[in-house]
Amino acid sequence: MSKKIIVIDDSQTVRQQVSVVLVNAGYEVIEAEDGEEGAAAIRANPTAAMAICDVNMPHVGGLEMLESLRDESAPVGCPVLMLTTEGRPDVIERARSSGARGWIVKPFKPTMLLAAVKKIAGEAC
Amino acid sequence: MLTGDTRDGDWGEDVEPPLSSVIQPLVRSSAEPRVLIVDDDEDARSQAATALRDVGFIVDEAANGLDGLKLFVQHRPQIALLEVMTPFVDGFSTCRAIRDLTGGGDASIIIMTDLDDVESLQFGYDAGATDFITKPMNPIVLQHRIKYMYRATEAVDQLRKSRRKIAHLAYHDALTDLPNRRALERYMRRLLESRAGNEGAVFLFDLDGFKRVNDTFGHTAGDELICEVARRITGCFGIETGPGAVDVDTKRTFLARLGGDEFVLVSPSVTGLEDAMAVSNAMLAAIGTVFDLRGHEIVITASIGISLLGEHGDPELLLQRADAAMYDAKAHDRNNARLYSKSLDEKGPVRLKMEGALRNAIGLGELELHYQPKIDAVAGVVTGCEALLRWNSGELGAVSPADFVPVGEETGLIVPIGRWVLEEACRQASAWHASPEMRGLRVAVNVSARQFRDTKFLDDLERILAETGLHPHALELEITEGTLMNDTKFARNVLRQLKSWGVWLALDDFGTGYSSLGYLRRFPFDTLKVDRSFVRDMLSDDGSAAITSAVIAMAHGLRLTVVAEGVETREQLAYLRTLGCTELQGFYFSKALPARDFEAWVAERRISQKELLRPREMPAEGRSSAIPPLLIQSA
Repeated sequence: MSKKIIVIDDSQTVRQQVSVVLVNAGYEVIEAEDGEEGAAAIRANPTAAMAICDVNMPHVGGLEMLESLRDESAPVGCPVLMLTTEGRPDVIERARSSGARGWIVKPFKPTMLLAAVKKIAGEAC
Repeated sequence: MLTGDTRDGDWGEDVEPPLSSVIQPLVRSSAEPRVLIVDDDEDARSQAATALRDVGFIVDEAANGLDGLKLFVQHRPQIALLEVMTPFVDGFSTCRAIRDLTGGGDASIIIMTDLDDVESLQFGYDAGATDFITKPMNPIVLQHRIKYMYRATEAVDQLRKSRRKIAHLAYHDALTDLPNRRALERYMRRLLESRAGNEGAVFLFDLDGFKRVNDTFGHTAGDELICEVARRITGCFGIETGPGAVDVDTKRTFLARLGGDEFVLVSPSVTGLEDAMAVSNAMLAAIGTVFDLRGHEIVITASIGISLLGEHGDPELLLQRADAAMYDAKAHDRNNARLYSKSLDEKGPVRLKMEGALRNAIGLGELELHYQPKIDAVAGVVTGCEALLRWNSGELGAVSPADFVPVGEETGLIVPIGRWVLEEACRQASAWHASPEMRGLRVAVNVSARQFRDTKFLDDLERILAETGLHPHALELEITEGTLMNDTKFARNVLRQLKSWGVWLALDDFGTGYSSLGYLRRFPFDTLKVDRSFVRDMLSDDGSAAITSAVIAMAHGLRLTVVAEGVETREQLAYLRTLGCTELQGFYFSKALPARDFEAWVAERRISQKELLRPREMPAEGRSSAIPPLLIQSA
């Protein structure tokens, strides 16, 4: 069975670009449009290998999602890789301290994304 | 270019990068040659660091992209050496993040990689990399590459500094360091593009008699005065100065010096004339405070021209209009502010000429009142008249009130003119009352908004009534809705005072403005004047007829007299009578006549009432009977 990866981004284009790379590499993709949907998908898919998540999204952003997952009494969820145009060190630091496992500044290079995915998803198994 | 940096590239007119990117000083903590190395391979990293320290660089080391970014922010190295495959944040991402930092565009970034495919190199350059270096690195090669890179970076820095200086001069006034005309136009374009509403105003001003300061105290003193004016205005409005001023948020007030003693202030939040006048007054007060110029106390005034942004989108046009308004201000009192109005460029010199002539009209006896009779709709008798102003200018010939009243309103001349009208009308009515045929005739006078708000209005009127001996009941003041709207509390107080004296109050032009029933209830009016446009249209247009009918019915309900203006035909007369209109006025009866002709008309009418409909009913219900009889002949 192929590994599941949850892709959370409000841009359909980005979700599609990421999904193509992941599906071609043999992963199964679940898409979510914001942090709230993303958190629900993470809770609903305990077997997911990892999530790839945007930072700035309407409604619930990526950092808020990370923090909400971490705040739960029994912290749940798979490792999360942030994929965003944001690059300010204080924001990246906030994500790291909330448990993010990596940070890629968009636009992404497929090989770099896959390298990060393999590393994070591989650790998870 | 020596580097691959494209962030701070050409800044031609078409591109318009934020000026801060070329004008603001370099963000760099020290000029020492400094390198940041980000690599999680500790051996490779310390080998490179040692090689670079050996040739005099200060080296900061980090094992991942995030720590590298933090060090970059802290130390601002000229050069960053980034391994691609670093944990948490990779080299390409770190490179992009550095480029997005303030001042991060100035550094040279070298990416260390063994990915030497075309695609990776292109991706790296796109991410903002200056150059690539392949691992494993030869220390000698590294030293020379980085030394060369450093010199190139320094050269580019120098270039940027000179370019910043040139850019600064291109957008700033050299004397005051305020933004110049070019920066002003740029700010205005940004403002006009970004604003949501129609707020905002342009204030163009210069100093009255500045040339005399230069002539008397010398140009250096004149320059000092200009700088002090700039300081006062920026201080007064909290205007941003310094390198950020040209790119300031368009929500903030902007001050530019155009040259000489000419400045422009743009206030993006001004919502209308009153606001604009408040800003102008603050400016005049700031400039009007005594200057200490090399031991001489001098007082200087300014003239301000205002154009409201409104729906206009053209900075040049707005400046032209403010300029026209400023010359208008200068042509008169100076030390004041004028709002641009269309008449300034449509009529231009003619208007200025008219203003000058109007100023002298009272003194030259060129103003005259004509009187249009008002007829009781039922009894057919003359109840009074409306005094209408005529101006026969020796210079311009007969000028229509439609042309000169707005000029009077704008210039404030309407106040003395209005006072003259009141005096003349009261004097005339009082004189008429001496004759038995004309006794009790009520004269109606239009009061302009500006006159009504004038602080001396009530005092003037009280004096005029006393001097002319006219019974207040015989004076009717016609006031438009617009006059009441600005400050209803103030208006109510004035109206109550007038009412307490017994002055008759009419709401003029009802139906053309807001036609608020609230005004009728809240203010102590006696009469409602239905606008001529309803009378004109009521026989051809059901809507107008319905409104006219409803207005008259409502006025009766409120116990108000209703006067219909502009009655021109027998049909209109008949219809208005069936609606229960109380009084009528219009060409059907008579145009406005000079006093002598009016007397003759009244006398003649007394004898012959052929065209009148026969009296057949009692005066309409609702007419007040507390007022002395005003009919000039008994029914």
